[in-house]
Amino acid sequence: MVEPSRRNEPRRRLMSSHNRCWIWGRNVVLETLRAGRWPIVDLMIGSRVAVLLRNEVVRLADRNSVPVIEGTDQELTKACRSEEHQGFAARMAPYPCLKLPEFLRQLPATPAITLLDRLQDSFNLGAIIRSASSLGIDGLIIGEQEQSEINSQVARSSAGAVNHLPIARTSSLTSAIHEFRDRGFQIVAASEKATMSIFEADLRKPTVIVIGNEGRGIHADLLALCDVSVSIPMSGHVGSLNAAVAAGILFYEMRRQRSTQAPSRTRHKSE
Amino acid sequence: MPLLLKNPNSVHAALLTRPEDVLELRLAPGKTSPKWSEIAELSRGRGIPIRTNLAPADNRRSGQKTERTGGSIALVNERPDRLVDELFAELPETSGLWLALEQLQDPHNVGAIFRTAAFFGVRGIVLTRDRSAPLSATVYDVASGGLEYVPFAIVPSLTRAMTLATERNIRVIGTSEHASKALGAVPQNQMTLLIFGNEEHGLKRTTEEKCDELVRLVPQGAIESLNVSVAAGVCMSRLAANGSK
Repeated sequence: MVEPSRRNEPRRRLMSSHNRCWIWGRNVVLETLRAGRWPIVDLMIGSRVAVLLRNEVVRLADRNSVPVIEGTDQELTKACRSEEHQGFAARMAPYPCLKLPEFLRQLPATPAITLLDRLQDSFNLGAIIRSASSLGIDGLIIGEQEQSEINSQVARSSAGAVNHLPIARTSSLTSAIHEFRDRGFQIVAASEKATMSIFEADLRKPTVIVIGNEGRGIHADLLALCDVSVSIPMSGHVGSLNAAVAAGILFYEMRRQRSTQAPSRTRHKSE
Repeated sequence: MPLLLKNPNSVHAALLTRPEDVLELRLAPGKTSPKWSEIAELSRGRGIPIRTNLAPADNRRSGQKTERTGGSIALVNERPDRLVDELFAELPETSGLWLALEQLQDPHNVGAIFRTAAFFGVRGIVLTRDRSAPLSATVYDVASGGLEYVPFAIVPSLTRAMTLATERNIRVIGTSEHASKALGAVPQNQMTLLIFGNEEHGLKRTTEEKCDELVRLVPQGAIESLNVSVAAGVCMSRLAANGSK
């Protein structure tokens, strides 16, 4: 494969190692290109891709100064190391997480935020981002320690939602929580051990929902800063919920409460 | 063919519910996690063979694709499926929830749904046979024990299950992105058969037509819909016996 020329352009940093900086698949690549949030280093398109779609890709790529390389299916497979590319593969720069101040500036009124404490599984992180985006969560905060990066797998399991949900990364989750507390947010811990059910909690106020590590739950230092702990009531006899499923149930309940019982809020024009 | 299970939670559940089907334990060399130690203890009491003299590369040589290379594993027989009639034979006095999965193809989704179903006390799951993820070791491991607690039937089509449900006054609710009714508008605490369709194409049209009602979860948003295992979790939490008010 011939390297595309990058005149007058410094060499860009990649998301991950040379081999792991690719995203692939028609939907994820198109979504990423259209959203224009996550910088693409260069893009490969399969020679079998239909002309109309190819023209759109080239136009979008041009607008963002992304070099486009045409290749055979085999060449794409070799580059992204997957046969499931459907003729689309892109080499990515690191994901542009927001800084907390930027994140805070763009929040709507009465925000619903989720903060993840050391989520290690990329499948779970991607699924949580997808659910958050679909269920109207206003943004997500992650830390730096023991935290899955926003990588290729996350992009895929989020079904492209990484391009839409505001995501901030902070070196200190505790100071982030302090910041939200100072701004009048209630901090809600999701914990299997909590006695209060999510259905009893009032999630209509400005809220940060804290979701903990898959195995160990929420760190004690963070838990101490939470106003209330809630759990999803078990109605079977055994088991536990996967972190992504639990997050989806929490987000849905938050949204349900906000859309069905909001007596104090003024009605939005479009409703 | 026995399954090679890697998740200690799925092995533990099998040991508790059907120890006769746990054929052998292979403990990885080195330090054993507390969960696997507990499993070894239980197995010893049951006279299940335990192998500990495994070379670290054992998994690699057997050609098994493993996430935790060289981790402990157990050989467990598949859990037998039931007849669809059996799933609906004993009706609960008040509310109860059943699921039907039509051509779900991702074993992670099927496993995750079983795990959530056990948590919410689902009475049974009906799965289609064709173009569906088989109940492989991955499904058992992702279910984290859920497959041992929720009875299931494997069927050529969902027609009979839907007819049986209707005959027994169990309402049949399909999930569809195109439905106009929201999940939140469905009355709770009733006997319900909930149906989920293929990850990409959703429910077959013929299946949709036979549902008493179709519901959707998400009114709008940049991303078309939720992952099916998350969607199923949301529906179960809403419609399970002790769900929200």
